[in-house]
Amino acid sequence: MERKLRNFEVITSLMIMSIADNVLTSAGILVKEINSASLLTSVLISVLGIFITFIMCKLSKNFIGKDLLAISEYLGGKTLKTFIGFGFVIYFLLILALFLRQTADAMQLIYYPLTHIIFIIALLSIATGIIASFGNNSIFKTASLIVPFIYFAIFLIFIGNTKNFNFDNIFPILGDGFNHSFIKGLTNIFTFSGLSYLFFFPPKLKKPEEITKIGLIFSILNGIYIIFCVADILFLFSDAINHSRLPPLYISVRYIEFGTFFQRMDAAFIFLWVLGLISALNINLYFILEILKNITNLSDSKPLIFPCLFTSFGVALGLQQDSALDFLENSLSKVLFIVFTFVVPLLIFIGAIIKKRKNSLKF
Amino acid sequence: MKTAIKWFIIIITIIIFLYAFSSSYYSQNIDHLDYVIALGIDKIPESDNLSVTFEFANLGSFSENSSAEQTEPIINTIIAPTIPNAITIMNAYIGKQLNLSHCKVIVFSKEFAETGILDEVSFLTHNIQIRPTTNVVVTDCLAIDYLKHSASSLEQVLTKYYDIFPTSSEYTGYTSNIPLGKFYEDLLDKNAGAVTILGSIVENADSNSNSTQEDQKTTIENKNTITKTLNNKPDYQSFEPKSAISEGDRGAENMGLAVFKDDKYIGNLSTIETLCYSLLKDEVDNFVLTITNPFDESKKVDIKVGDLSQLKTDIDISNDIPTINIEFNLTAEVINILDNQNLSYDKTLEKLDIALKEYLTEEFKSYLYKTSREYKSDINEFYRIAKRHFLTNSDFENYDWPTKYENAEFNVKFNEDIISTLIIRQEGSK
Repeated sequence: MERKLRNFEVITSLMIMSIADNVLTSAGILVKEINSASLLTSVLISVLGIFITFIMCKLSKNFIGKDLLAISEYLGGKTLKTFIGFGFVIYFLLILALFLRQTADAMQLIYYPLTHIIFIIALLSIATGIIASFGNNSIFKTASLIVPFIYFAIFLIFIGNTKNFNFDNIFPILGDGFNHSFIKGLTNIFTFSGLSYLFFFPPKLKKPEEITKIGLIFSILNGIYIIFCVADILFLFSDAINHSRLPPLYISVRYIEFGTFFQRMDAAFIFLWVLGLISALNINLYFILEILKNITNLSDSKPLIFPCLFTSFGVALGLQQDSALDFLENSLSKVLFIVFTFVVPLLIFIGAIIKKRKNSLKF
Repeated sequence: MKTAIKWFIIIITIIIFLYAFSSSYYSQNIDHLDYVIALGIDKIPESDNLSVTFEFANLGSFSENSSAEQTEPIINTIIAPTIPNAITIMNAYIGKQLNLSHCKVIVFSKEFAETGILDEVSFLTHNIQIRPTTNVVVTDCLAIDYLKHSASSLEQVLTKYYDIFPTSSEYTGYTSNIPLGKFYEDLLDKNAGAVTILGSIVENADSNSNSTQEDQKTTIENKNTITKTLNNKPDYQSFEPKSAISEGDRGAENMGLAVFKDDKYIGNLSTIETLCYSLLKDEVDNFVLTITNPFDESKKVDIKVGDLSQLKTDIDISNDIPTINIEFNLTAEVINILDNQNLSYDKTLEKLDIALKEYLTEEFKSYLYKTSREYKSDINEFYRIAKRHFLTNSDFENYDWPTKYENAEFNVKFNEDIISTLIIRQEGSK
């Protein structure tokens, strides 16, 4: 019997997934695509994210303590549950592979220039596998320990860079036009990537009835984090951001100097981020294993740890070319996020509620 | 049996990882690295080759047994077609790997900067070892000579000097802190111009090194170092720094700025122009100005300007020619004794205030029109303020700011009473 999770552990777990994504890519992509209007777009995305989370949490309240798989089983039987489950497994495996690749790329560039990428990905995969074998206790407790530090680091980065900021970078206020910034720009809601995992948590919660509270706190915290990430990058860089392979948030940290005494703060931030990224890899793998266990009726998911990691290891290695990585980061992951985080859960919730109402009317 | 296989796999995995990561470990090991503290890049005349100079920290100077005397830095130069090529050759020559993570300053010679340096700056900016806060200097001499003359007994550790010298901009305004990351951004920015610190070798740099002999008698030679007059009065801030320094053990100095249009060096800013640039960038905390005494033109008066509030800049784009309105809010105090018994205290302040405003207005207008008419380079990034008037990027691009800036008009205004006090009052003044 697994330990039930406290609300704080769930919020920090959702946060670490979003933070990992934002630090590695999302915040940078948002500023690159929307440029001067990105701060305004990030505010809009945050408001929209909070609103959608609220709606979805309210809908899920009809099925307290049930996760998305249980609700889809209620709606369409075992077939739908298996179909949805495999869909999410593939989606989470892609995210796992993407995280592995991006983390390994950054670590190779910064720390291990002469080590082949295959060994760095393998090391991260093995570390993830070992932690996963300890079960959920270590994974969620680690996240709740690290996230407060990583979260408040963004404020430190913002304050540290203030003297280098150019606040006029928010002009022209509409960027490349209203449609591009605020209609097309809304697809950048994938900065709320932690939300994809929210509806797999209910059966693991100590207080499943507080799912709305958890969702709202997560989305508000995530919105604030995105706004600060985007503001830091936008105020610091103009065009040069488009030319670097490194995550822009990391480059921004390299500018921070508190006098001549506190220099090279990036080492401390990288240490925190690497811990966070490993934690994000673990949470991702945990849910892949849980979904697989659920749809295959396995009593123990441990034998699936290394097959899953081998799959993501293979996919991560396959992303050799920048074009493939760009396609996965900028296009495919956005579409998959919208489908698996908003469209699929909403359809399942609405369908299941209708079925529930119909059933209650029959009696 | 199962446990044995498990341990076998674990041990093999550990050995594989140790082997795989050892190359990176050895390459980053402090014993296998030589730390570059400054990089100088010159162009070889009539050739495609570069002369890349590496200045290394003399690690002996950090040891316990080192004497208090300053040790000479180690300077090596490589002739190569590109900087990465020069680094590779240097690695092979010294038998260790160069590490640029402690590189404090990157120096380009004026001759090389005139040909365009975007490729080199781009390489250096994207080099993971070089920090974006590294300072960029363009010298009107060879970069190698500048590096050779940068050592001074005043500073035992040269890296500290390279770290600290740009901060003098905060209390002189005669130079500016130009980090590599910002310089690269400006080079890429088609609307703005870029600047770097201007480095030079003082006129008598080589003779200075011999002048410390005890039996040598010093003769002070008078030179006219003022380079400009303003309304027929000498402009005491516009001097020739190279000849102004008549005695000093550091042969190199950093006063003024080098101006870039696109990625090419196009000219210099004098000390007073650099002060104008720094004031417009809000980089100066306080500074001292020397102007002609309005009560007696044969005398000078020193004014300490400080407590600088944020300036207000507004750009009128309603006409075809943009009008840039700048309003300063300064506070100043006179630091000399003034011999003007005839005027009341208030009238004295008023007259000094007018003289200071006239002086500053002339200097700012001269500087601003030089950047627009002569250099055609928006080094103060006024375009960022102009962008406030546009809703979309395409609207702003259609406005064609770089062309418009070449004809821009400037209005400079100051607050009512700049001079607030005479620090030392003449007895009898009311």
